[in-house]
Amino acid sequence: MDVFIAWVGSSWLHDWINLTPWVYPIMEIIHFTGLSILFGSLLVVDLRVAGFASFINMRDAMKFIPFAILGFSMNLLSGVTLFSWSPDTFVTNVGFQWKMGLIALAGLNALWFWFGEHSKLVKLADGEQAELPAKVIAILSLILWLLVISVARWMAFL
Amino acid sequence: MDDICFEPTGLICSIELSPLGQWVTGASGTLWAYPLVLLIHGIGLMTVLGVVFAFNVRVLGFASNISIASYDKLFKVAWFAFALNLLSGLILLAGDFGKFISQGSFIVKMSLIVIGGIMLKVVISSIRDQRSQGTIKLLSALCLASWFGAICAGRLMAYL
Repeated sequence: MDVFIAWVGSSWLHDWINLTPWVYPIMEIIHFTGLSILFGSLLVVDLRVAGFASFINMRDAMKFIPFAILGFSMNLLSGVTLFSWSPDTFVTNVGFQWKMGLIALAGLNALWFWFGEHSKLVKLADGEQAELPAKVIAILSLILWLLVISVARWMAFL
Repeated sequence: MDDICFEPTGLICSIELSPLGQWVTGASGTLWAYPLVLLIHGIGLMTVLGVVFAFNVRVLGFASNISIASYDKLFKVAWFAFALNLLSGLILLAGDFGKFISQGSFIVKMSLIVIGGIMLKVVISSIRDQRSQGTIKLLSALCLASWFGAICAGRLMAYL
């Protein structure tokens, strides 16, 4: 871990965010914009799969998955940049540790969704309810991402 | 936070020194108040902006099989989140009233939220009135820009 921290700390990204005053706030703006795009897109997909918005055709709801990936990518890139600001501050932060763990869980949940349920879901007829495992994944996804933002917001206080 | 609070009887001071203002800043001993209210504000903002995003993505021509009317339920979620943010925002405002009301980024943020809200109404009525696709999409892009501009201004409040 020390090697990793030292490597990030000597990177050009670390120098860039520390030496250019506007980089940190701009990255935060991208991070907040990305999380809104991610969460809004997941609301459409997950609420449909969970059965709260059956009036939307499943295949149409799935069109928001690329936007969720867009939001996540924005946050991955801005997040890595913010992390490089001071890697040891983050890795020792309890909120950050929880956040990374929860993102990993949400990622596994997304993989389960994509490889286990997606092909079955797009075959559903208009208004048809998803099966229970898919509903569980959808609810889990919303809960996990709400927890991610909760612990993330508390990183500044832990 | 005491920069504008000159007189204990003045409006700014009395808001900052009110039980609510003292509670949210942790001055009265509740250290968890500020992180909690900030968290509610964060969850609310991603829900409001998320729904605004999902709606405008539809209007801009993606996922066009989804009927505009089916967004009504999502808008209910968004209104609930907006109410949460209005409430949490007012509480945060009370904590440092003098600083916020004189802060450029705060004023820009408030203006963009009002403009964003009006633009949302304008987009919805332009769809109802069957205006040209070009007009609707332009309005929709402006609506998205004002809401995401509000995020920018809100984030910059910590710096400017």
